[in-house]
Amino acid sequence: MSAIAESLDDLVREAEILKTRLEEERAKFNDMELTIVAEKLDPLPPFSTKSRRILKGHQGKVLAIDWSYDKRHMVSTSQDGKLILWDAFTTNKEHVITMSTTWVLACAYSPSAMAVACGGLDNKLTLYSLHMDDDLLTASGDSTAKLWDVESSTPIQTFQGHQADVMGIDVSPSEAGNIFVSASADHIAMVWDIRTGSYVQTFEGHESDVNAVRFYPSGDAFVSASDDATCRLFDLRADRQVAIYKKESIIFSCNAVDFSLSGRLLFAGYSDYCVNVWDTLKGSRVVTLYGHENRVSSLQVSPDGTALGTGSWDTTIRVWA
Amino acid sequence: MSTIANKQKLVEQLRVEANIERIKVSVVCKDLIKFCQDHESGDVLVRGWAGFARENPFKEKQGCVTL
Repeated sequence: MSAIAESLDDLVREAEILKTRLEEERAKFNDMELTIVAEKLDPLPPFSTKSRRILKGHQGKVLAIDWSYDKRHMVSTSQDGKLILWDAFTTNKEHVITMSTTWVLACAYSPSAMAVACGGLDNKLTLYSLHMDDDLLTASGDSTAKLWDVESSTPIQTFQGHQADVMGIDVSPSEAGNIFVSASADHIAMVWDIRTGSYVQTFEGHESDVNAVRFYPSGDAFVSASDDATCRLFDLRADRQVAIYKKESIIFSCNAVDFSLSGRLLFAGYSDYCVNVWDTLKGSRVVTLYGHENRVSSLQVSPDGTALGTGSWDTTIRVWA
Repeated sequence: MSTIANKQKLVEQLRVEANIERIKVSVVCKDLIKFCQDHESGDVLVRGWAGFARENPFKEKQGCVTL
């Protein structure tokens, strides 16, 4: 009994020593700030994107949106229990599907645009497909992420490590899609290796739930959005935060984030109904997009980088282009 | 016993994380900036539509009317 107690103490001690060492190692490489390196860059040209479309049809809060890879269609899910497939050009609803639960929290197109997946509070992952042979990665309130084999409807891998709900995930645009990042209500973002099933890096700093994550288009870094009203840029190779996007006047949760094609602009949707557009490199706010009349819950740049889609609790989806 | 196993797993994980190869922030920042600069010319949301061969598909068509 005492031997066990002793080795438990040893382990706790060693964990503390390692944590300190980890911090010291990270500090050694912290020789500069992104916003200072970017100071001399030319200012951005005036922001000309404006609200071009309003997609109306949901009877409840829009909870998630996703662009099709054809750059024209969108899928959305809402608290009204509907999944809607939109033609964003014409604003027509092409399909309206009624789900078995009202809180449909997430939706996504398959890369082939031949199927859509969605999931919600009924704990089910539902697929509407014509043909599908991809694997699927999901984040869950059970504090795990899971990789699914769609054909057999069984999980291939469970990613355990977070201490609270996993709020969002994003797969790396590099590394052959073998790396993904997760956002969690435990205030931490983690980077995972899909092949081994374990996490390889943890990123701390947020003071509240992390709601969303998105890779920088080069795959070297990712941005996170949090209930602490900040977004943060974490670099994988420096193993630390390299920039923070915040203002004293911004006090509401940030729920969704995405980058423009080059990564220069960072779009962030907040609970104060606003979308703030940040200069990723200089760390300054470029503009605020007003239009939504309730919380901005989801946001995504179209695959060719020409338009921004935003979903809101005001029941509408807006296309900014 | 499960506490011990959990702690062992945590220590193992921390060892791996403490030993990863790192790159200085000044270096990674230059790479982040370079990626932006290399791709900015094709970024419509940064540059606007002027200078692009294509038209904004979301812009309302201004139809000509002959009277």
